[in-house]
Amino acid sequence: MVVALSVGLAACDGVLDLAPQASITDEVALSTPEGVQNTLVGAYDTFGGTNGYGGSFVYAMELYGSTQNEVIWNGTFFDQREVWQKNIPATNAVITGMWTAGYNTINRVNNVLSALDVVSTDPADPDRVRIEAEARFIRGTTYFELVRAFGKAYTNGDPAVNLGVPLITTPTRAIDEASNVSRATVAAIYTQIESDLTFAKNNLPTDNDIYATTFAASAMLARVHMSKGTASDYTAAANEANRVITLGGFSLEATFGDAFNQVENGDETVFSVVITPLDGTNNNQVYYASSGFGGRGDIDVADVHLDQYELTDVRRAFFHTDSGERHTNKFRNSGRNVVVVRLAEMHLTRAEANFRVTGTAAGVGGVTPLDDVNTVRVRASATPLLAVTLADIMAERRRELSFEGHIFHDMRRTGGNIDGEASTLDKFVFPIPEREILVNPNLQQNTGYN
Amino acid sequence: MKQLMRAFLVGALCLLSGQAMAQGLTLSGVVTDQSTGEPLPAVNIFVPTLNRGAVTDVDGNYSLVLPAGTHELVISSVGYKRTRQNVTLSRNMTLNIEMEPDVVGLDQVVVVGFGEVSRRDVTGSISSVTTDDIAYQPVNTVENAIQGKIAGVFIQQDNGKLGQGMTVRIRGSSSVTAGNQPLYVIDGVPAISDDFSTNGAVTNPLADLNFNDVESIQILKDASAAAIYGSRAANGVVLITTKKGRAGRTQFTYNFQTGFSEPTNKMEFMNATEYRDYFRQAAINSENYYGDGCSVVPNDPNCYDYIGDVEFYFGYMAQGTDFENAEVNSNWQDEAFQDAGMFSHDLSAMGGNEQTRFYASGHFSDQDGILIRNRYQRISGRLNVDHKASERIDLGVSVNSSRTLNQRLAADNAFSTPLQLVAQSPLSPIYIPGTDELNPNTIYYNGLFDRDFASYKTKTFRTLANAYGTFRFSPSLMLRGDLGADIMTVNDEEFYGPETADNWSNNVGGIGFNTWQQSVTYTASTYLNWQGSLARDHRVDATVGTSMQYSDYNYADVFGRNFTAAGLRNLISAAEILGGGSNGSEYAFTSYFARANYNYKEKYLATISGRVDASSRFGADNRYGFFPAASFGWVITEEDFSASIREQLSYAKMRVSYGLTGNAEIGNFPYLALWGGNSYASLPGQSPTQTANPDLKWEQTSQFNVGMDYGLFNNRVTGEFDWYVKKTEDLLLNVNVPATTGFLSAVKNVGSLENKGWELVINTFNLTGDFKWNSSFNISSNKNKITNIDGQVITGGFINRAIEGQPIGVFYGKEYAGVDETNGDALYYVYAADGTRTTTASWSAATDRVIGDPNPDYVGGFTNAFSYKGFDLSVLFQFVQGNDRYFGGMGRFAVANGDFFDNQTRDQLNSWTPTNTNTNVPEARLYGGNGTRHSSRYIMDGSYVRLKNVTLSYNVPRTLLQGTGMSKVRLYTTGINLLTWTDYKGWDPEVDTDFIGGNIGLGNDFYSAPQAKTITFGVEIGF
Repeated sequence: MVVALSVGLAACDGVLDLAPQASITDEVALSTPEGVQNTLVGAYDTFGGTNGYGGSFVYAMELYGSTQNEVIWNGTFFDQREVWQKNIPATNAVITGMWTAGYNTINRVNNVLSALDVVSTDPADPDRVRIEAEARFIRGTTYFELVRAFGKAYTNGDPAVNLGVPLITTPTRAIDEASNVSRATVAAIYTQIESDLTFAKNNLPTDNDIYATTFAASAMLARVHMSKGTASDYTAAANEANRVITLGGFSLEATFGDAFNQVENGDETVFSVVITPLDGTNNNQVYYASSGFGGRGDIDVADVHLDQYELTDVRRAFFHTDSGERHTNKFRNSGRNVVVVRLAEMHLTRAEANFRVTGTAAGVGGVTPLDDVNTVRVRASATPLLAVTLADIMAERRRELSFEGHIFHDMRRTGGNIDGEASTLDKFVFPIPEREILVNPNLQQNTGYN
Repeated sequence: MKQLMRAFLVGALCLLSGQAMAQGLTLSGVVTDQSTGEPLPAVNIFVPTLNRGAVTDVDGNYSLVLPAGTHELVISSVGYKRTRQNVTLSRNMTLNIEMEPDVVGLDQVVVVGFGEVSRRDVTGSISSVTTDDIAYQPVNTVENAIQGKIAGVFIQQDNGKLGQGMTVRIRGSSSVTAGNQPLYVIDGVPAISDDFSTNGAVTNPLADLNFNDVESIQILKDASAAAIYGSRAANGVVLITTKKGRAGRTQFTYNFQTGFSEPTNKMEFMNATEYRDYFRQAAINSENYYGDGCSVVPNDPNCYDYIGDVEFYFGYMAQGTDFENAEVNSNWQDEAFQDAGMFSHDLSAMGGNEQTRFYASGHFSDQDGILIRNRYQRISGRLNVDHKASERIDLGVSVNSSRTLNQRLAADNAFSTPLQLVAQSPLSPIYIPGTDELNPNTIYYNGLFDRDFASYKTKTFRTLANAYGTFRFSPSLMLRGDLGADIMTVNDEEFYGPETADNWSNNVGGIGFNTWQQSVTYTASTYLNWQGSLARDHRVDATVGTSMQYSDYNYADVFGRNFTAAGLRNLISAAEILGGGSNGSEYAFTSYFARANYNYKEKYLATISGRVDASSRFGADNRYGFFPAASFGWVITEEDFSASIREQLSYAKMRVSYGLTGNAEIGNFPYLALWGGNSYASLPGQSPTQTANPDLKWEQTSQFNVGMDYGLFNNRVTGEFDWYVKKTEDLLLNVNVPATTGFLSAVKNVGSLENKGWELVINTFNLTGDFKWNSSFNISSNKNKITNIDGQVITGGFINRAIEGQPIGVFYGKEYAGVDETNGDALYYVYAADGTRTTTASWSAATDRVIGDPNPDYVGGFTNAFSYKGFDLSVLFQFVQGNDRYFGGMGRFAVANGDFFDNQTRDQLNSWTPTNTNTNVPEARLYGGNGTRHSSRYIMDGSYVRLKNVTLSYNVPRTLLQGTGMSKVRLYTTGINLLTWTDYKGWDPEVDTDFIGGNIGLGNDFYSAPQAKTITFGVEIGF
């Protein structure tokens, strides 16, 4: 009987026709509107992941842009230490992760955009429009972060000549010679970014649950224009910031500390990436928070950092201490959202943009730069200023936005110094990851890394 | 194929009806052992010309009906020399036969895939190990027990944690991306040897097997031997056969042993005084090197106060104790280890009658690991039954059920893994001073909290079962069917109490994980075997058959936190369930195979075989692979011309083989474009995970083997020599692709690699008589080379790479050039195009090149066995030579001349100072990273010679046992890893850290546990 049974079983080829249980194939994935929506959610996943705003876009850029004796990498991870020391080999895992995860996000978005007809063949269908706009918000923002890290600043040399990153707007279906895409210019990437974010601004709702809104797109466009740094861009930036401030319905939290570590977005939050208790952790929290809060406590803040605050300034005390090391409170708790844009930044952006166009006089929004700066200062219990200079505005930005990943970009767009050296130096552009150079012959390495 | 099988069966039945038993004369008699005179059961008496035979019963009797005339009888039995004898029958006749024990093993039965042959007939390369080599070894797994005993097989226990990964390479690595571990077949059933670990550190599913049940292990090394396993065989095949019952009085055997283990080695770290002085100097050095400190220019924003920093940290570490007088001098290394005991009980019974035979066993063992909290318990039971239903029908079952409990530890890269304790400062008290509470204020998470407040239990339930039936159409034609199942259920229960919160960002009120995994594998095979003579002297043994395998894997997990009360560790007590998930996957193989062995006068031998495999792992167009092999043997000593030197050259057989085998260990659906699930804000998301590759096909390994079996001086010296070339084409390679595609890699058939090597075995009977001394020496060498991977560079480990023209996994990076005598800077080499080199202090400017090779040049073992009266002594030395180890993972912290506050190994005290310029250790600089980036500074020679196993035993003489009811009493003591000779500076050179590994990331040490040195005492009683 065993013999007969085993003959029966053994000679049966049908058993080979198996399908995966935990995965689906290409054709199935994008065949329904739900599939397309889920793919969009999948794009938020990497966008807000440890190599995106849930990590490198924030803490790594802070390490890269800060003064070594002020914000100190005190951990044992060598890759982060290299970023902090501004001495980054092309094999560095942090920059490699930013690049690979960034393009993973972009491919996810491109998949969404390739299947809009599945949502609805009607171009005016509200779901379709929203999905396209959210997808393009994510893509534009991701390109913005990538081009600012792996390319020279828009304001440094000729952006129409300087190399940015490869520009890819269609989903990958096969890997072949055509996959070896070369780098587009910085200007070409900015064109794509503005196109994506403008579409997002014009088509996203004002309220969109936890997802990107039209104001998130405006805020991101404000950053883009500030980065480009021409007079018309400053005006555009002021307009976008003003739109967020006046139309967005946001307000500064009465208490500075309430703007951070939120379970749900507060009044000040323009856009955040959601971290649930299930996700638990994000890399900002891991490196900024002490072990008492479940972090590694790898990023210390030195006394010298405090010198920039008045004694009454609540931002001076927004730290926790563990093992004698000082850590910022901004990313203290696990399972809390990472704020990407908050209203205070928009005030400071409007202040700076207006100042650069019209000086101390009232500009866009009918508000003076002094008013905007003092709005932020008063909330932090700092003494209101009586007059304001550009340097005051930049210093306020540093005080208000420390550790949130701005300093590197602010110094590069304004041609300032990073850690005592000119931000235009080759070392203030990430190398293209070695794995990419090895596998894609069309990719050119940044100067200083060959 | 179904039709074909049916036709075959019908044909076979026709053959049966054509066979009629001729009337004749009866030949009968008793077969006895020549040396003891005891009757021998289960001896085969076979008449090749008539395809007719008989088997002796319990009392050694046989009876055979033959026509009148002269016949040649072939008499064979396991463990005895096969003989041929002519008998002339004219009437019923009695012929008693004496058999000579076979100490050389030429007539050993060798289990091959779907059948067995005599060692004499083997033309492939097969190594055998028997129960004597394995039973009652006080080691964790069967691979440990055979380490160093088999030529051509490299076995490494990856570290000293129990039940964890073993690296087994038969004739080198045959793949870059696909699996490199051999196929394990237990009693005909391919056994699951996948890793079921949930924490990334590989575990070893073969640890579930009670190896005391093993009768023999055959290692199929060349293509001829392995090709019958086709697509699964490129890495060699390990056939494990368990014990069968024998007809006769029921024999019971009870064995007990107990012992203890300790680490093979401890490292030397700085004590409190050395640490304090060293880091003070390191801070001063940094201040001198990097510029003014803050003490010089107060409030200078560009200062960094190294000296202030070091004093601050000393104060923090000391926690109020007087570090200036070394009030605390903690030895953290000692805290990582525990006193490790072990014991085991084994009870087995075997017996039966001519119709039904059985073997039954029970096993319980409990073994402590050398690391704190590590413990492994195993309960196992087995029943093997064989039954002769009629002259034509045999059937049997074997069932093995086991349960293991492994109290596991965190992977090597976790702060909570015990050996990371060595990073703590000796100034830090282990307990809060004046209390017995653990000190939470250490520079790194104090992993001892995990010892006291965490648990990680892996329970494995495994049932291996198979049933077979054979139907004999005639003495020469047999049909056999096998059904097998390997059912494995693994439950992981992890708990981390609130006290461990510092190490778990998510830990609020304790966090717990519970994971269930189940793997169910069914196999079925059927084959027809014909043995007979085509003509006089032309013997043939032919097999044709088919088999299938289906495997189903399921996974589910749940995790939660906030446990309601201390002491409650099950998730039922978790106030907050954080999440969970489930998953599953399947694969299947179907196969058709055939083999024929040909033997002409025991002189010329040949085997051809072929297997067609189809697998669900490939697309419909590339599903089938064909794996043929052929081999030839020439027994030179059967030739007349060699008769004159028979005294000197007692036995010589030349073997040559060539064949193809495959590898399909690449995951289950690599050919499809797939999407996987993810989530954002607790909402379901999805994203592409791999692109399509419908052209994916089998990776193929061709192997040419030439070998010789020899026996010299009346077989006082015997052995084997083999030389082989193994080439793998169409590598199933995880090819890096531009990340701009959204993917990191894709599986493609790209490239090739080769393994070339040789193996030599020399067995000698040095002394015979009352005092016996036998030796067995084996050595093998394998050279691996990646011949083509399409110009790619594939990285792994810390600095391992797969590079064309190099062995797999070479270390690649900067070459350390020692210390600049003038200033204490670490130096590296810069190579010019012409090969000349200069030094530089700039790590970045140094040349990247191959700086080490983790693959050994030679491996082997040397056993000496002595016996005198009832005493037996066996001594095994095992060696590995020429493999580099990379210590950088740990070395960059612990051998880093004071870069971070990690305690340093004592050799760092020899760092450069203005008065100690002739040294290889750079100047100590706190936070200076002086020479601590990845480089050959941390590459060490991992060669070692080890006194692997010493067993001394005493058999109580039978005369003393008379009347006690006992037939055997054996007392023994065994020592494992007693001595190790090596230049390696880490804990133990037999190491491969458990958190990065794979085919490329070889030979890395990262706070990895050393091997255990074990001494046990045991008693074995037979009754």
